[in-house]
Amino acid sequence: MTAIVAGGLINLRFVPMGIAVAPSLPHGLLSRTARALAIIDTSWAIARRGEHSYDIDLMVGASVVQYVTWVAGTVTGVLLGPVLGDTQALGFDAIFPAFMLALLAGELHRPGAKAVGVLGAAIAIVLTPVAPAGVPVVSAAAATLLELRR
Amino acid sequence: MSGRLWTTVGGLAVTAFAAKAVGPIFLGGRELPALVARVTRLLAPALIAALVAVDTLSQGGRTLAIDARSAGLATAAAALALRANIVIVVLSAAAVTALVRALG
Repeated sequence: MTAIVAGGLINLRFVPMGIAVAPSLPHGLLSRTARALAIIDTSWAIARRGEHSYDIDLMVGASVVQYVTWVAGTVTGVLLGPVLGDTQALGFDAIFPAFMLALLAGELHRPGAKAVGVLGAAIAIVLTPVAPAGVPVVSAAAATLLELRR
Repeated sequence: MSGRLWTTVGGLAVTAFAAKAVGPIFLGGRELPALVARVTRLLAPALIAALVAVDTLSQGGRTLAIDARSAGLATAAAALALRANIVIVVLSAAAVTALVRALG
């Protein structure tokens, strides 16, 4: 139960992501719910097109590819892990944030995006020592409230 | 044990699906209310910046640290500023992180 609550907090960031893609989804309740299940951090960020639009086919496609490579990678890791040794020594843990940084760089030209990005990162960092995992990232969504002042 | 493991996996799947579906179910397939749309316009930079920051500085749990990953991310930022290919950006971040760890 504790694990489910802890994991649930980490999943909370999918709520704002789901709201952001909602207008781009098809009308049918079932078809839009099915596509919403393909929301994962990277696919959601890759699929961003305009300020209010997301390429849903791209998001679903990217998630399918990542699911297959994720499972294949997990199997490979289990089999090759003992051979590779410590993957941290290879710097693999920097790959995900570096990839997300590249996606972030593509966002910063939008009016107001730099301030919102800096504030979002600051909120997440300030909360990390004091809040359970997952809460810092979803709380960063509050940085967008800056927009209401414009 | 394996029963509890699968209960946990199932429970997590349900929370993930619910979190992803709640917005699309209630707001999907039409334009967002104007006030919501003003806020969602910049959700991507807010959340992506937060993910980058946490993944770079958190040591798991609640501990923050500026370590080899920060050097790797600084390298990625420099590569992006030089308009490098994304593969170069990601690989240079991993390589510098590994190098700093090897030296440290």
